[in-house]
Amino acid sequence: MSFWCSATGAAWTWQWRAYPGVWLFIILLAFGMWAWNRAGARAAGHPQRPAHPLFVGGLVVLWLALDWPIGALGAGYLASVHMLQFLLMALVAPPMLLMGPSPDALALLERPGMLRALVRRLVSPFPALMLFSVIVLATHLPPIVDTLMATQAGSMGIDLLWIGAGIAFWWPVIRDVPRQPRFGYPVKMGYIILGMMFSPIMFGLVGFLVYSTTPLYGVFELAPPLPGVSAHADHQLAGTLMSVGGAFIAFIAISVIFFRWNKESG
Amino acid sequence: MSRLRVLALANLAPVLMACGDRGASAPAFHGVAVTTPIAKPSFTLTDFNGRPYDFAAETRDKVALLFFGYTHCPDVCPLHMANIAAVLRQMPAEDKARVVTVFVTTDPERDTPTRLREWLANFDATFIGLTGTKEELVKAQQSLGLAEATREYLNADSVNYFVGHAAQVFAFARDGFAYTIYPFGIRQEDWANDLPRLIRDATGADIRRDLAAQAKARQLNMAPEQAAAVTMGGLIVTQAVVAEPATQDEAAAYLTLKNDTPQEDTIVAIAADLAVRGEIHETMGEGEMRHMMSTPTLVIPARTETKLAPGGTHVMLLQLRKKLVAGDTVTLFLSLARAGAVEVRAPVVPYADLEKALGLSGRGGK
Repeated sequence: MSFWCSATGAAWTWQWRAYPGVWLFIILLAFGMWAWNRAGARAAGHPQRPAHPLFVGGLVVLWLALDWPIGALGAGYLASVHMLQFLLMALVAPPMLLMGPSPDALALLERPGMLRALVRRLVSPFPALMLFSVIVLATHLPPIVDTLMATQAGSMGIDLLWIGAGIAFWWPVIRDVPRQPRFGYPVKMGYIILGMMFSPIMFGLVGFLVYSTTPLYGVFELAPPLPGVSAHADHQLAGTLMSVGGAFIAFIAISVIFFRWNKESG
Repeated sequence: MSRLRVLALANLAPVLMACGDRGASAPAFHGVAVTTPIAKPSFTLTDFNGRPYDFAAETRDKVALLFFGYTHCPDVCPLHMANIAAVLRQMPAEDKARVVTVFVTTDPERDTPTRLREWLANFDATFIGLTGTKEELVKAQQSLGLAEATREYLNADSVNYFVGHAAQVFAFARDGFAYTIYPFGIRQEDWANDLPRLIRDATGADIRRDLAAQAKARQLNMAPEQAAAVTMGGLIVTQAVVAEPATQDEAAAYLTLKNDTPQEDTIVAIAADLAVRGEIHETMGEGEMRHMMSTPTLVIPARTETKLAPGGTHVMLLQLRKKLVAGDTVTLFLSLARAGAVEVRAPVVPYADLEKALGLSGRGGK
């Protein structure tokens, strides 16, 4: 039994495999959010609210992305599924998870303290955008992917970096940044466009994946092949997913923001 | 043997680059250079149309890529074929016409001519599949210094089996000599680099000159004289013994591995011809708390000699196919992340003679 999904070099089978590290992570995430909300409610003297449905949805999305079969396929067999994991972990789940903390819980971040100050800094728009871009770039570099995906710890590291980067990126869009002016609707839309639709990093990665004459990632090129799937086609699909999937998610987000702005305006 | 499971890491590229320098003005060969060029062997087998195929005659003045594998292989064989086919598809037609890819089956029972033709057609319709009698196939393998392929059954009463076979592709240049071989882990970009150079050189002179320049410029990773025992990066097994077991259930194997390279390697799988499964075990705890724990991989640090010895990390061979007695020989198949497939023959020795056989002065370990 493996703790976390990673590239094993074994031929793929559709036999279910347990990854208890994934389950533990989801449980810890849920418990952590509950504990945070409880602390916030107690500090404010308010009753604790039940978990937001979107937070629960975010946990489900994360679990699907990390656990068998998507987790196993993306960790060691198909670059396209690895990219699907990235979209789910960095772009779909985080905005849902960010609905988890209550206003009372968020208020705790405004208190003094080095750790809280660091969190406030990291989820500020510009640092969050930079952090997201750097992590996306670094975690898609072939030497990094090929080295880290071969071990459970490395694979888990990449997954956690994606989730963390996604939370930081989406924070200014979904929630107010503590101790900072509210991000206006037009600025939110521009932020998403800059970070996703016109990101030079995403463009570059998509270009390499789609147009490279040889597969980018050795871990997927040399994985035991799945019937009917060539490594080259798989990499091209990964690039297409990043491009189209990312644009689609951005479009949805911008649309939601636009309609909310329109509604508030009158 | 169990499937050859070799994890390809992106830093295989730097390992290959020990064979040359990608950043140098003349691109280096990415394949593993053999110490002595291997003459194209002369054997005649049967192609998948039922016709005799004289390997040397049919591939004269062409780049001949020769590989021994089987169609039920889950990883190494389809990957080699797929990567070669992918690179050939992108080459100009006149270059592609200069390359012949020949797949010789190591599983003649299941690889019928029809099966061979259909399987190879998935990759490239021009690939040639060869079969023959067991004796003919063994002779063909032995002509290249390769050990006879062996079977590993999934369990004691299973009809399904894996076939242990050499994992490298022999690339014979147009002059009839193989100057480089390509173990599993070779990528499409490596073929894309080397194949055009093999195609262009009709006499082998340029290849020899370039490899000599690579050797002069930096230390070239060379395969030993026996290409059958090819290891990338100079990792070799200097000692290997199996302790005579008390039962037919399991036996312990002890090895000494010498890694002369500047990079660590990792054993990712172990199999044996006389056991259904092989595992790496670490001995944990002390005294009454001592117990063995299976570990999925074993790191062989750079520039070290790693001893798997009694009392420490060792190999356990499980579900033995027969009761091993002193005098038997077990063939161990190691899969390494960098070096690829390493095959070693380990004699079975009485437990009392183990330390002497391993050259240990006392209790040893990794």
